[in-house]
Order: sequence, then structure tokens, then C-alpha cells
Amino acid sequence: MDISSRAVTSITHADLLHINRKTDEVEPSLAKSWQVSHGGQTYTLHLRQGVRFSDGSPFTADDVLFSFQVYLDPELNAPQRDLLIIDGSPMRVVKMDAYTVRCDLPKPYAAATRLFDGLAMLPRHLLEPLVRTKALKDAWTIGTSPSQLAGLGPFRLKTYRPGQTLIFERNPYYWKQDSAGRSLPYLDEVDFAVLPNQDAESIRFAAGQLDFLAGLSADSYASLEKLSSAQSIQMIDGGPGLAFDLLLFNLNTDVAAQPQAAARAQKWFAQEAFRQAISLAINREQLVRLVFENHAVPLVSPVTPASRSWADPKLQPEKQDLPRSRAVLTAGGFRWQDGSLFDSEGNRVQFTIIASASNRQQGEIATLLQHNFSALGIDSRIVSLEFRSYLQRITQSHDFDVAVMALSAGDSDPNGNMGLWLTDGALHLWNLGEKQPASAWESEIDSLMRRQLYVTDRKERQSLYYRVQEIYAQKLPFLSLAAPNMLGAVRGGLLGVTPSALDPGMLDNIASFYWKK
Amino acid sequence: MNLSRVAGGLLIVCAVFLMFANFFATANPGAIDENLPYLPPEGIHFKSPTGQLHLRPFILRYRPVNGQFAKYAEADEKIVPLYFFVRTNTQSEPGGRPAWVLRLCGINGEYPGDSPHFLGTDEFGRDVWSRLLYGGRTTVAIGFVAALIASLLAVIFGLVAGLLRGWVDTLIMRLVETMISVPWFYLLLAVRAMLPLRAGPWATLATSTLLLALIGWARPARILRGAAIEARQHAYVTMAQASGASLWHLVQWHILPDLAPQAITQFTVLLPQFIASEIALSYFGLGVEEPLVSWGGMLAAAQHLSSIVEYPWLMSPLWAMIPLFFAVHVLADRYGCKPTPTMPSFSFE
Repeated sequence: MDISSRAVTSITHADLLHINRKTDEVEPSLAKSWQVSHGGQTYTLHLRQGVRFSDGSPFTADDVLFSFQVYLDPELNAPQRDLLIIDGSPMRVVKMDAYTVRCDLPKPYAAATRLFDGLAMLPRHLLEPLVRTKALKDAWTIGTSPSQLAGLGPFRLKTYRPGQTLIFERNPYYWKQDSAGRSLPYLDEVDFAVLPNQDAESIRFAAGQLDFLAGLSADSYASLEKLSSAQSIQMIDGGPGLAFDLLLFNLNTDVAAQPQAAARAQKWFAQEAFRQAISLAINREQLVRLVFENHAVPLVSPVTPASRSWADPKLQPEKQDLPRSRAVLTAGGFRWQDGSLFDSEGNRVQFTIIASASNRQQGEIATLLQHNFSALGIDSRIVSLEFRSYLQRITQSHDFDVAVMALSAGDSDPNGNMGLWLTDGALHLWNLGEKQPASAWESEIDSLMRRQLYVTDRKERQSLYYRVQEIYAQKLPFLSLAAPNMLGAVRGGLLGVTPSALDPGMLDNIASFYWKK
Repeated sequence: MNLSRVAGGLLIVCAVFLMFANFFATANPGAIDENLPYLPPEGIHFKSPTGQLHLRPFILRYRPVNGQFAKYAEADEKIVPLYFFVRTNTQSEPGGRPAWVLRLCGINGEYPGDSPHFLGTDEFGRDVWSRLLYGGRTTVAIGFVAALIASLLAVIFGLVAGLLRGWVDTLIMRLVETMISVPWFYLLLAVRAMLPLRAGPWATLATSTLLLALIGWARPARILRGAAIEARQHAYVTMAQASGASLWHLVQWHILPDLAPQAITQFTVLLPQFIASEIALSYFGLGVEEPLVSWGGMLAAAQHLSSIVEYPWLMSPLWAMIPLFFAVHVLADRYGCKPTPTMPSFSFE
């Protein structure tokens, strides 16, 4: 199995409430029920009784309080902290009794229950001494001995051999049962192999040394699929996930020491008509076919189909339309000479596409885009950069023209895309230095996104978010290209694996994996 | 010896193929055919599936299986004859100005841009045979020019160090030792990443070539310095010097001719090395950029399991390199002299 550190957290720990990956609705987890009061400002959670950590000690409201204390500690600055700060002030958690906690929000919050998903409840008895000595930051690293770890997840760490394997054993104290009343998890042990790349994974899988692969690329999927008839392998195509590929225009206004060529390129990118013409020139279907071997869907906005009820059904991905693209350019003052495109000031339209050298698919996307652009008479160059310098250009120096990128929303809910939409968001990549919205439509997106945060009516929230997507589709600050499918492979007989767009993907229901007898 | 004739012949064939890539190619190397990704090579036949012999060679086409990606049915029975010396329009854009080229062979295509695929196609349905020819041009040109510049630099520095001796020699040799001890490949990657983004593909190509040359001269310079010192000690050089010949005369008439075989050998050692460097750079995604084709770029695109196992024709640049390197080495062996392991000599004068 392939695994990330996020996935380790999710199989060894548990959350208070959990989003059902199939229905996308919030369901009870460690909290068996909850009530909302004060017009959506107060959430009272009733914890399950008799739940034990994987080392046998009981789980109570004190552990919940402690966990929130850790996540909200400004000094520790946990990645979860941002989520729990609503309208500038943190969520307050109060203990009512040993099995009841109350969470007070500063404002009614639209998707409040979703905040609890993936928020691991930590064992106070093990970690509190570390908080006192300010050693928590360095606690629970990969080298920590399993006896010092405890969680509420289906498995607990048994052994870790650096660079080789992570072995987890069944957590005998796990609290969840299946519908027949049998204790989960079904599997006694799960081994995760540490492998350098997907080719190594595929070879091991084909040799029968691995039973489950998630996060496959289209070409690995294709080569395993060919084996699937000979060996008993079940291929999983879970449809589009939350990740998507995009073409980013550099609309940053703070580019230091701009060469003339860059300033010219930015002038084109700043024109709405130019961005639309570029979008019309892109053959998204060809891209889905040749880069993702049909295991992807073309996109019209960054809201992928995995966001079910939140993607605006009125927006449909546009087909490549070169005549219309040319007409848009002509209307924008561009003209052609000997097949090459020139702007109204007589400059040849040329720009550079950057892509990460370590990402094969990005390179392929760039090649196809270059091909599409040349049909418009645009001279584009591809520069593959080593990943760190690629990222540095996009996020820090802002020294690039356009970039092929992959991003992923944190949640299928609109809140999972806040960082992308808000002018001062961390993922507002097309204009990162922007403090104030540069235009009326940007400030409209800002206000719509801020408003939807506190609207509890689903329909109303939907219409606000649809409006955001419609503004996006008209203004196109960046171009959404395609959303790759979630691909995996399972050895025949291993059942219960289901795709999930949210973290940790197909490992979400690992407690219910089982071998067919 | 016969082997060197074979090698020479091979080299000439390679050179002709690469120089007249336009003529030998069957398609535009950048033309994408989205319906034919990973098409297997279409062999040239004379005997039809029904056993009939044809005078005119032909190919049998694989048909894409509907709705499936890169799945092809077995070659069907329909014979697609090859025609020779055909004029083809390489302008694929509808309405674009036609651009005619003469090709060695072609077919009566079913659609514009249709061509035979002797070595199959790549992930975008581009013709591998044509890319092999155009790519070889780029790769061999980089290797050749870089090796030429590096050898020239090596001769100059070797001569200066070997003839002038003294502090100049010490300076150059210390420089050479420094250059040899630096892990250049990683530095090349860094330099490549620092290049201005907006430099065109030709500018980056020239820079890569120059960088390879500027790094590669050091080792041969050390060998040529040794050879220059040795050459200088020949009796006829001493006699010429005694008869009042100038240093320039000595270099021109006695020392350079003595150094020539060594220099040629060094060149032939550098050539494959630099060709391989282009491939290595491209392999890390930092070499020649699209739309320019190079062998490194082709191999880089094929660097995953499925292409090695299922689409082995994508490895064709590797096969092309074998005869090329073989020929270069055989000829170097025959006409140059074997690289002698010269020790840096610190004589006590």
C-alpha cells in the first residue's frame, strides 16, 4: 500500500463527526449525536461512552477539550488552526459533563459540522505532560516508539522500519461495530510499503507483493489493467476527485524588476478577451484523452464534479472553438501576419509556459497547450523547472508568464475553496500579492464567498456559490482544464474498498476492508 | 581493416539520414494525431495476408478499437501501398498556406496528415520514425558542436600550459583539477533552472551546448598538455628551435601535427559522452524543450514502466545510438590513437 502522513493519522485516529464519503453528509463518529442551538451558534456534542484509546485508557470530554486546546494554540500553529477560527475569533469548547461538550461559534457557520471531520482526538494522558514542557511540537514524530502512541482509530502502529515498511495492527479497543454488531476492523494487520515511485509500486503489485494501490496515474492504471484479466485484480475508477489541473496566468501586480517581455505578456493576460480566446483554443477533450487516457473529465470551473451539489449545472465545459477564439482576439485588437499573432501595438504574442519537471502529466499538458496555442499563431515556449524553483516562481518571485499546475480543494463543500477564491487567500495564485480586490468582480466574489460562510440555508448557499462560478466562467482569472479520476487497484478477494474524494481517499473506510473467505 | 569500413559506412548512413531528415521522415515530427496514441510499428511488407506477392511494398494498418484508449485491433487485410518520392503538404492547419516537402515515401492518406508509422507513434500519436530522425539531428548536433568546442579549448589550454610551463602551467592545471573535481551534472541542472524563462528554445539549446563544452574541456586539456610536453622534447623540435624557428613556427609545423591524433581521440571520446549528457539532461526534464525534438526528450517521455513493457518502440533512440557510438569508437580506434594514461608530469627543470 502507498501512504502519506495524512493517511497514517486517519487510520490511527478518529474524529468527533465524520463525513460519509458516499452521501457527502455529516454522520456521528466519536460523538453519537449533536444538537444545534442559538440560531446555529452553539453545537452540543454527546460523546460515546466506554470508548477507549488504543492503549486502553478511556476517552472523555477532557480529551476533546485538550485536543481543541492543542489545535487552537497559536504557538503550536497547527494546520487545523485556521479552520477553527471563524470570522477572526476561535471556536470555544466547553465541557458540560464527562461525556458532553459544547462548542460555541462566534457566528452561525454554514458547514460547521464538517469542521469536525478529520480532526483527530488526541490522548490527554500521553500528551499533556509534553504540552507543559513545550515539547509537543517534537512529539509523535515518525521515530516515536509505538508504546508512546495511542489513538482512537481502527489500527495502531506496530513497527516502523524507516524507508521500508509501516506495520499497523488491529486496535483491540476500537469502538466501531458493523451492522451485525461485529467489532471492526476486520483485518488484523496492515502493512504499508515505502516505495520510491509508482513504477516500483506497480511492479510490486504485479508481482503479488502488494494488495492495494491508491492514487494511480493513468498510465500505471492502464498497465495494471492489462494484467487484470490474467491475475485477479480489480481496477477501481472512482470518477473525478477534488484535484484539478489548471493553467495559471500571472496576474500578479508586484512582479519585481520586470523585463519588457514579461510586462507585455502581463498586459495581454490582463485582458479578459485574451483569456477567453486562450480558453476557447484549448482542446480539453484531447487533453483528457491523451494525458489522462480518458480517466478524467474536462472542466469549466475549479469546482469539480466531486463537489456534487455545489457545481453549477448551468456551466458546461466548452469545446475547442478556434474560429470563435480568433473572433474574440480580433475584437480585442489582435491581428495576424503570416499566421503569427500580433497585439494592437504590433508586438508578436509570445509567452513561456512553466511546468514542474518531476510531473510527467504537467509536461504533457504543457505540450498539448503549446500545440493548441500555435493554432492561434501564438509562439509559446515550455520550460520545465525543478519543483522547488517552479514553486518559488509561482508563490514568491512571481516571475513567470503562465504555469501548468495541479491543485486540490480541501473539501467538496464551498468552504474547501476559500483560499482560492478570496483576494487575500493563500491559494489566490493568479494574484498573490493582492491586498484589495483589483476589480468589481473580484470584490463580488469576495463578498459572495464571505456571505455563504454564514448562510445556513443550503439552497441559498448553493445560489451564492453558483454565482461565484458564473463570474469565474465569464472572467476566467485562470483556466480550469481537467479533473483526473481517482484510480486504484485491488487484489481480487480484498473487498470493501470504496473511492472517496476527501482525504484520505480510498483508505477512509479501511476498518471495513476484508478478505473474501 | 574491414571493421573500420563498416563503421565508416554506418557513420555516413547515420549522417545522411539525419542531414536529410526532411526527406526520410514520413510525417511532421510535431503533428499530433489524437486518434492514434501508442500505435504499434507498421511493418513494411511485400507478401499480402492472402499470400500474394506484391512488387510495390505496402503496410497493413492497425485499426483503433472504438471507445478504448490506445487499443488496436490486429492489422487488417487492407493493403496500403507505399509510394516513393512523394510531395507532401506539411501544413496541417485548414486554410494555412501549403508547405510542400519531398518525402522518400508516403501513402495515399485517408485524411490530411495521415502517414505510415514505421516505428509506431508516441503518447500523442506523433510518428516515432520521423521524431527519431529530427531528434537525432538535435542530439547529435549538440554533441558534435559541444565536443568540437571542448576539444578546441582543450588543445589551446593544453598547448599553452605544455609549452609555456611555469606559473601559467600551474594556473591552468589547478583550474583543470578544480573543474574535474566539481560534480558538474548537478551544477548544470542548477544553471539550467536559472536561465531566463523567456529565452527561446534555440537559445537554451545553444546554452546547453556551450555549458557542456565549457565543462568538458578540462580532462582532455590535461592529456594534451602531457602530449605537448612530450612533443616538445623530440629531437627535431630541439633542432628546429636551434635553427632559430619561432615558437609559433614550432607549434604550427611540429607540435600541432604531433598532437592531432590525440586531439581527434579526445573528440571521439567526448562526442558520445555529450550525446549522453543531452539525454541525461532531458531525462530530468531540463534539456531541449518542445517543440524541438531530441533523443533525450523522446526517452524522457518514455521513462515509465508501461512504455518499456508495452510500448518498446518508444525506446528506439536507444537502438539508434548503438550503431552510432560503435562507429565513432571504431573509427577513433583506427585513426586516432588510443588515449594513453598520461601522468601529469612535474619535471624538474
